[in-house]
Amino acid sequence: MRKVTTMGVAAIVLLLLLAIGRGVGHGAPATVDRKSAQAIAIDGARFHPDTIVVPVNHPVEWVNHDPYPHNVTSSAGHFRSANLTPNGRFRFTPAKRGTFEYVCTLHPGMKAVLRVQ
Amino acid sequence: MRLMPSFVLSGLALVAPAALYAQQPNDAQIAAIVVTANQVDIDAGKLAESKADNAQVKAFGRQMVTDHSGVNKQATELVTKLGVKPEDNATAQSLKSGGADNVKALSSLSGAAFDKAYIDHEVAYHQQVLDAVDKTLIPSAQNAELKALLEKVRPAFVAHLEHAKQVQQALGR
Repeated sequence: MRKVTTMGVAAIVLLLLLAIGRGVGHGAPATVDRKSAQAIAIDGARFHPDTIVVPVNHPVEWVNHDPYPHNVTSSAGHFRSANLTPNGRFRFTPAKRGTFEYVCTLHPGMKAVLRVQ
Repeated sequence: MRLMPSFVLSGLALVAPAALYAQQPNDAQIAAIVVTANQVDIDAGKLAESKADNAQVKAFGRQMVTDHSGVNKQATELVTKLGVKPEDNATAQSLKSGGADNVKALSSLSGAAFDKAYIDHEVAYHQQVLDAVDKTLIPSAQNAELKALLEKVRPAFVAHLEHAKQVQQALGR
């Protein structure tokens, strides 16, 4: 009896694992992947990484890890965050392909590139 | 004995010769130096924020207040966490008196003369603080977290130096 119960539990666990695997596998809707933004850290008055490549319509999120404010400003005016306080975040979803240079206007030496394919 | 960083002689400041020499600072002394170095630039920034004529100089001063206050907050949180009590020392005292002298000298100026003197001092000050961070403070720090903090805030001084030089160049046009 105990053996049957153990097998039953194992079967349920296996089914659950298969169900979860189907949800995050290749067959999952593209929108699931798009919810997780590509992260760019602002740390030590630098953007990390300083060049990033993302597909069009894929969100990008900057997080300020410095103890003072920064902003994220497209040199050509495509996007601009407010001044991000420590631990502040800015999310942008590029709707068109291209190469977008951006800076922190508070620290003009901070430069980086967002490449959208 | 070892030669202390030249930033104690920064810009308009006059420093007592005795303060030029001191032993390699310990962590408690480094904490005091870091907090004082930031506070000195906060004080000068506040003056520039209220007194500068040029918009870029005024904005730079405001940014110095914001950035160095942020760094000091983080430094204070760290030393509190580590149980390190900042220990006053000759370098910190020289920074303090040099900063007071600088503010006093700047207070007697106005208009373009103030803007130029302030930004010239900021260029020299940040360069000298960077030298001190690289040659004395980081190599001397014993606690790993304190050393990590110094390494983390170092780029801010680099960014400020670059920014100050840009403003200085713009004023010269």
